[in-house]
Parts: sequence; structure tokens; C-alpha cells
Amino acid sequence: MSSADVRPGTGLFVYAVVRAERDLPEGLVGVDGNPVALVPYGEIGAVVGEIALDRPPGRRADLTAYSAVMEALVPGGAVAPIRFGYVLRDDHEVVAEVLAPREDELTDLLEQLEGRVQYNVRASYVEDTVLAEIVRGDPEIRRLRDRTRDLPEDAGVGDRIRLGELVSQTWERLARVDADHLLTVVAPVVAAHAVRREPGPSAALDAALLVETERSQELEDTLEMLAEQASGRMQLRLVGPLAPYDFVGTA
Amino acid sequence: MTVQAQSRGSGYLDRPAPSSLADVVEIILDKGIVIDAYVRVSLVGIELLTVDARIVIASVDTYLRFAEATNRLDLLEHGGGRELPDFIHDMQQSGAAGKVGGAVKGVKKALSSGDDDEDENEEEEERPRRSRKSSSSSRRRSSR
Repeated sequence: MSSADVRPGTGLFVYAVVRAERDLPEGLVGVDGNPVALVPYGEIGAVVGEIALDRPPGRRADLTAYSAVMEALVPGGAVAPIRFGYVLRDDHEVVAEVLAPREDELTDLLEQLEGRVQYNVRASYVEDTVLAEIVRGDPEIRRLRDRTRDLPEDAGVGDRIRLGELVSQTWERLARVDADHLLTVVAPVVAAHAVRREPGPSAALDAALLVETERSQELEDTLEMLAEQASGRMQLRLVGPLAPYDFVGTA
Repeated sequence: MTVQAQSRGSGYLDRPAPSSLADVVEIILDKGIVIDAYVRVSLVGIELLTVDARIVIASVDTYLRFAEATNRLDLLEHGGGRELPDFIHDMQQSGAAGKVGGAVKGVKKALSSGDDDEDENEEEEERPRRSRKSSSSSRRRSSR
């Protein structure tokens, strides 16, 4: 299907760049329920969908529509997502601004992404377990805790701040150690990883993993093992397969 | 995805399908190939919320919250501080770890300006609902 005939007052929402030769899922619709189409250019193409230019600014349904398109594209081959929110006037502009200037770069990128998908992993802490661990492991923290815990809320503020600061620092150190451990175990299974958030009290690890599709099960098994080991202390969460949002660079 | 989301067997590993707006935002926020800004006709000011998302606070306030959490902790003396999970959840909503909360608020801010009435109402309802949901799902283990 060609999207050459863009009606007046409409533009093209640009979802992703894919190989031109691949098929788009039958009946796939995107933002505003409009069908998606391919704007081909040599071996690559942009997945686009019509959108009224005078529509109100984005609604939350647009975010989910965008992510649903990506999700639907993943099984059919490499997908390089375009950041959410880009609308160009017509397919000539899609070629001129997106595909032609970076044809080689995008072709290479799709080659690298072929047969690979992204998973997002997060290891969040079971807070009371870790707090107890921190208190037991540090005499100074224990001392400050003993000194402040039975005081009225507005008393001993200096000690409280010091206590909280020490807990926070200790937790961050601990999170880095945990993150290193998790990544070391996971690394042999994945093609690449990208840390999404630095280790800290909310989560030891929050990362995107680029994985060969055929190693997905292996990754899941590895994380299941880690989750079991960490049980009661950390909760591991795996989301995917996703389009490789974190592995398409920003250039 | 839905098939994969079904938990297989024992399942220490949490395998949710990304369904809520917060999940989707978290996944796609600030990601993907950037097109030169000047060619953009623009759909939304969504990127603005990345500013929210990147704020990391290491303030006195946060320290005091940590201190309080630590002091409320019952270690092994009485078998587990019941109030702690909720407290920490509150802390995450407002403190250094509030990335998702902040981001979602940002999205809502960005998205609500042009929204119709129905969406506005949803917005009012969604806040408490979301808190409860994330509280119970992330703290499942400790609250049982």
C-alpha cells in the first residue's frame, strides 16, 4: 500500500524504520485508528500512518497506540523506532528528512537489529529487607537509629538527617554491587545492554537488554534463577519482547 | 506478548505485560530515533516531561524520610513493620525514586491540556487507583 495520496490537512505520523521488503501485519492501525503503511526508499522504509494536523495535541491513547504498533512490528523483523511524536507532511518529506539522509546508517542499524529484540529488566528492592540489612551491617547507623527512634518527631533532626544520609549512601553502594552482579550473570546471554536508570534504593538494576530472539528463553531462565536467588530481597521484573527502543541511538 | 506474559511454572520472575500508561511511558519515554527538530510538525510536547523524569533529589527531606523508614523498621523484634511498605511507597511517590510518578504526572499535564471532559474525569479517578495498584503490585511480597 502506498501512502502517496496524503489528503489536505493531514500529515504522516512516523512510527519506525524497517526493511522495505518485509510485510506489515494485516490490518495494523496506529494513532487515531488509522491504518499504517510503508514509505519505501531502496532497501529501507518508514512505517507511517495518517494523522489530522489540526487534531488536538496528543492524548494518552496516542502513546499506547504508538507502542502497540511497535509491538505488532517486532515479530516480523528488525524495527528501529522513531521517537514518539514525529509528524511530517507527506511521504516525500518522510523520504527527504528521514530515509534518504541516513540510508546507509539506517540500513546498518537494521542489520544489527535483525533477529534481536529488547527486554526491559528491573530489580527492585524489598525495602524492609534491605533496610534491616543496612542497619545490621553498620554500627554507626545502628547507633543513630537507637538514639533517634524513640524521640519525638521534631527532636534530633541533625541525627536523623545523618542517619538518613548514611542509609541512603550505603544503599546506593549496595545497589551498585547488586547491579554489577546481575549484569555479570546476564551479560553472556545478551548482545548488549543499556542501563536505563542508575542503581539506587528504588532499584538495583533498571536496564534494557538486546537479545537474540532465539536466546529469549535462555535469558528468561537466567533471570528466573537470579530472581529465585534474590527472592525476599529483590523482585525481578522482565518486560518484553519489545522493539529495541534503547538500541537505536539518538543520532 | 500476551502468551509470553503468562507466568510459566514456579515464577520468581515477574513477567507482566506492559499495560498501564505508566508502563508504556516508562518504555518509550525519551527513546527512539530523533529526527532533526526543525522538520517536525509536532504532535505533542511530550519530551518536556523528560525533564521531570531526570530529576534526582538527594535532599534533606529525602534523608529524613529514610531515617524515619529506618526507625520504623522492626527488625526482628516484633516481626516486621507493617507501616513500612506504605510509607516507602509514599516516599517513592514524592522523593528521589519518584521517576515514574513524576513522569506520569508530566504526561498527564502535557496530555490533559487539549483533552475533553471525559479524559479530565478519568484523570481525577486514575490517581488514587494507580497508587493502590502500584503499591500492591510492587509490595506484594512484603504485605502478605
